[in-house]
Amino acid sequence: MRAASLERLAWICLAPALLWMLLWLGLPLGQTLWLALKEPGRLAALALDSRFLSSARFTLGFAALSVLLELILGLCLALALARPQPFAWLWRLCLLIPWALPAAISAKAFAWLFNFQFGLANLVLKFLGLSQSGVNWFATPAGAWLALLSLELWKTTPLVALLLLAGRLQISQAPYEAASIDGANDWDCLRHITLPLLGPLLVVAAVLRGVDALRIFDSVWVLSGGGPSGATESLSYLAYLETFQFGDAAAGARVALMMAALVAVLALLMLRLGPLAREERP
Amino acid sequence: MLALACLTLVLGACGRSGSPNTLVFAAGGAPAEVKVWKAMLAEYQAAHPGLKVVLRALPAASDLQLQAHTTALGSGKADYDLMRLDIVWLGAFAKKGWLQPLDELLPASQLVGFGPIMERSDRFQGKLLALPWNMDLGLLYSRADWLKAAGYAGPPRTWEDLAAMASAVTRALPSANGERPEGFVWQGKAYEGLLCNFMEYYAAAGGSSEAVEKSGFWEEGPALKALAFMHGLIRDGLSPPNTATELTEEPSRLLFQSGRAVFMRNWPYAQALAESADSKVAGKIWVSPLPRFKGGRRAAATLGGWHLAVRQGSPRAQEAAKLAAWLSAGPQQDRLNRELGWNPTRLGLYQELLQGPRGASLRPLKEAFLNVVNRPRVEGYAQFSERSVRIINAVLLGGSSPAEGAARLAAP
Repeated sequence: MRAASLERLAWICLAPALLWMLLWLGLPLGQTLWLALKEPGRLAALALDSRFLSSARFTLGFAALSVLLELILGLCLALALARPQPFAWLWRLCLLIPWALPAAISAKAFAWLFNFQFGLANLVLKFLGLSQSGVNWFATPAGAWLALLSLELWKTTPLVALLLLAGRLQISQAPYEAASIDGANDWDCLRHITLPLLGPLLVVAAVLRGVDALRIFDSVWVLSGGGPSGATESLSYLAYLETFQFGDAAAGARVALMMAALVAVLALLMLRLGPLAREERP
Repeated sequence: MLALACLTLVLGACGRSGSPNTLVFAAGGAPAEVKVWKAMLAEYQAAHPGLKVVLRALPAASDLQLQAHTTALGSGKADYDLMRLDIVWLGAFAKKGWLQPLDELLPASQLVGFGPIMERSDRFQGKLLALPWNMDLGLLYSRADWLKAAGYAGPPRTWEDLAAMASAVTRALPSANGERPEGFVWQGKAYEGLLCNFMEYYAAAGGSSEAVEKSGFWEEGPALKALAFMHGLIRDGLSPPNTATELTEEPSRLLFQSGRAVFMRNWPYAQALAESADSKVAGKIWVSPLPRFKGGRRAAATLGGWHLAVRQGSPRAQEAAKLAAWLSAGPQQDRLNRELGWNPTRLGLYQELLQGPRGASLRPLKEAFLNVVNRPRVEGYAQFSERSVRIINAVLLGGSSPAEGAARLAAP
């Protein structure tokens, strides 16, 4: 009885927040779903739509590559920063700067870095004598990928590094001491102590970043405009074009729905198959 | 982006004006423009006691404005009466039935004097749906000092001459700080501006928008000539390699204005900036109509500009139309030209202005005025334009040949 009334109270207290969420999340979500599903035939036709498929390929490939590199770089940074050293707080603070900058601003900055006539990238290449006239970065898919990838890595590796740094600092010194007594070197410690104990956090970082990377929009919009010839057109950019540039909200909703499904499936897979799944079982 | 759209909606809902005597004008522009519009609206309000006129300021970027309009008008929740619209949106807005015909709201005497622009851009199936407020068209900017030094007396008359002159001048110039200037800069990035550039070569090569409107596709012959020339400019090194990836209006203006290019294709706005005190090319340029092809019958300048239209279903349509007529009348257009450098849409005003101190900058415009071409007014313009732009840009990038590009432009 007491528990039941407590629960009722909890629902009453939650109600305003729930209603608010329903209004601003539930309604638009419902409408998007309805828009996307009202012509099931056209939703199915996406499976054969070359533009949608090429966007999906880019989105998946780019997310996979960028998250993988972020995890590796982030781990290296985290392990370097975990060592006791002077001004440790300062280095950790510096790490936050790229993450704290608004996405559109860092994208604009990178657009200038890779600008053909005035960009720093070409200045350096010319100075080193590697290129006579500079590289026209956004003219080839490889160049556009490189520019986008460097922006994404610069912007989001700090988040991964901080997450992993927190995890590394949680691990006590005891297993390392025991291992060193047994004659383990640094590499053995990394393989058999650090990585297994960081496992769950690595998965969390991968899921967080993976979901985020699959939504990539601002960098594409500012930096490459989806070019050259659609080679870097992401799903969210395509959904934006359909909805706001072509004025076809239903087409945009279909792309958005497929994207949401993709994100959900991948996130579930990562949570089910990784080290986190083991913890769930009693 | 989505958050912004939501915000626009929310703000729109808050600003809803219930009073029957309040007229709402939805327009987005640069801060300087908004300031002048507000002053003009205040003046209009003072002359019409009992009427309140409000400016609903939309974002300055035109794609965000389009987004705001399609969201508000598409949902049927728009509450403004008068709108400022980009010339390329008119077709789509007309098809969707969002614009109220003005011939029913205004006496015919107020609808004359706009010249050919109004008939070509604002009339849909016999009905007048908008009034031209200002006009934009493609112009050629040349470095007079370099060309004179190389022995040329004036700007090029044909595209072939332009290529030859650019090549001769860039080769003759001493390479200051190790870099030779570009021959010709224009807008080749994959966006609407590229279509405006393409349209000029296409029309100069004998193509017409009317043919595109009939079939839904570009004519292959003129498209091929246009693509081959544009592609050649980049291939031959007359235009920089990043033309197709980075050059929009502002980057091309930056290159020209900092003395790094012989020729530039741009809109009239670049003229005042190129002649401003901090410009490296002030006093050293010619502004002229764009050239024709050798043996071609015509030159062409793509028409841009902003138009005033009354929202279908506005309860104050009559008042809104009157305001539109006032805003686009001679004295107001003169003020917009004086304070913002806008190019008038009334032919009569050009005759007047040409005599005055502002005449020199308007002379090339008046000449180019006779060559204006409209982008095709086809159904689903946004998709049509985006598809065309992708094909044209792929040719400029070297991904497909001009012949392949022209074939794709001419067929589904």
